[in-house]
Amino acid sequence: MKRLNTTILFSIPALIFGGILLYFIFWNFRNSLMDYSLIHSHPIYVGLKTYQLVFSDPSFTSSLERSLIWSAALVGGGNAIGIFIGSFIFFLKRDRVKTVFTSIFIYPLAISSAAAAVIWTWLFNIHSGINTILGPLHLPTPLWLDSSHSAFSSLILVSLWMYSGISALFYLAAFQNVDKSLIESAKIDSAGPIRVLGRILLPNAKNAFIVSTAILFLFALRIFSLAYVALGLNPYIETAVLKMYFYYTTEYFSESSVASIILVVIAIVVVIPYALYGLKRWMINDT
Amino acid sequence: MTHKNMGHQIRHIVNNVVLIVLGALWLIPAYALLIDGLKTTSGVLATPVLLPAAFSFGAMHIVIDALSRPILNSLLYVLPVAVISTFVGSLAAFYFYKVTSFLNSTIFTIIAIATFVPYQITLVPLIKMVVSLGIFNSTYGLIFAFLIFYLPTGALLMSIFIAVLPRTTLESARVDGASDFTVFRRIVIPLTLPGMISTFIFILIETWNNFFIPLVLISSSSRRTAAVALLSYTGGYGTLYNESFAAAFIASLIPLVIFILLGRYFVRGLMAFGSGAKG
Repeated sequence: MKRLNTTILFSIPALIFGGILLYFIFWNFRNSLMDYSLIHSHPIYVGLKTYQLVFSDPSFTSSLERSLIWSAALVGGGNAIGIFIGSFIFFLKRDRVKTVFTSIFIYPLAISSAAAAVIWTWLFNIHSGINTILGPLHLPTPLWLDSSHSAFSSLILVSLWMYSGISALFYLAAFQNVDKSLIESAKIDSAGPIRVLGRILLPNAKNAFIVSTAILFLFALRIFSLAYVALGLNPYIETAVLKMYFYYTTEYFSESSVASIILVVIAIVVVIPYALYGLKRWMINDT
Repeated sequence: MTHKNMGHQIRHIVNNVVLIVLGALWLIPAYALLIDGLKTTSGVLATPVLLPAAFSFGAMHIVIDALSRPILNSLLYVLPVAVISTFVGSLAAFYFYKVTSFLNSTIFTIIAIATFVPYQITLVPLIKMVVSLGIFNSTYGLIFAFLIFYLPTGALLMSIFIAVLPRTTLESARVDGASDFTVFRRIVIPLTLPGMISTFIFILIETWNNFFIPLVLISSSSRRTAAVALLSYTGGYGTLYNESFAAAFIASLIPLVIFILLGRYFVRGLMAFGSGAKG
């Protein structure tokens, strides 16, 4: 019993900081039911009124919509690119070559989104960026960040460059866990790589799909610096997180809290299948 | 038979070519980062971003002068955050591994899920708390804020690495009468050292690259961090791109060097981050 009491001390710092994190989420929830801004510095309870207000504000709904479109694009594109790259790396023969290629597709994760935004604003510069190569090759030369139509999709491309590698990594790991004898016996039946991929590898990569979908979705929901550093607070690119920041910087605290709670709800919904997967794994480890 | 072999050969070549083309696309920003930060002013005016030109360290010098303070500022909070999150996180992970109960599992799962929620949503309460503690616009405030997010993350990642330890090893040490801290120091740390390095490096790179938290918690420019200082180098009209690229290069140097030297630990940290909502 004495032993138990001293060990519990080990967990206290983590519990305190974890508790603060939970308190922040609770604070937002409570505050989202209040009327609280710089003008109303004494919060009063208004129920769901602020939610109504925020949802009837077209600039918020379009920001939220853009966050969800960005998430869908990153989840769809990232998984597709991840499967593609992951399987090409899987079929390589030498381990060292595999490592080199994996690193090439992962390295954007080591670069900050702020640095990525600085680099890509120049690569997208219509006078001196990649268009100087695309033009002479007679490939299309979009206006990239210079047009409100293409700026959003240009930033989605950057996020795919940043995060597809992690998806490829999860798929590669799943493929490598597949029983080698299954692949060998399929090869004896003269199955090509596409059949091996479709019949054996992909059906065994369900966990990679769950994990990379959740991670890409969460990355997309929290995108802030990429859009903010590249274009500032821009009504055409604003995501839900940017909108929340905008509400805060213009002192509408309750609106900021409402945006936060909406994001929390979406994030938790996304995390549930993934958490269940994690729990199952943990319980298997435990017994 | 030879026909089939040739098929294999072709397939192998196609596989390599596809990866080389895609890899080259992925490396374009890295290539631009390397050549453009080293261009002269006349080189910038004469060549586009993707073509090389004569090089000089002029832009690098200017940028190093401007960014050395922000880089130092970053190191001052990143290192304590990564060390404390890894070590204290490991202690907590060890406790949750050792004492399993329904209550513990529930608490741990809730905190684990909370670490995946977009951290930006804590903006207003975080600032209120940091201001009321009197550590707004200071390194302590940054360390405090980052610990809120990364100490639970450290515990989560370490619980994944600790979960594979055989329980019998720990049991036998306890029979010998070793205290829990001794077990932690003598057995858990050596056995999970690669996992600890992975957790440390993952948190180090994540905090170094974080832009949002220092943006809202630091107000004076002398305390700006490396990622935030980059904001003044975006490609507006009148700026020369050699300085932008030099700045992005200098600000990314530490995470990139870590990635090149210890990439496998970073990858393991990423995998752990991905593979468990609960260890």
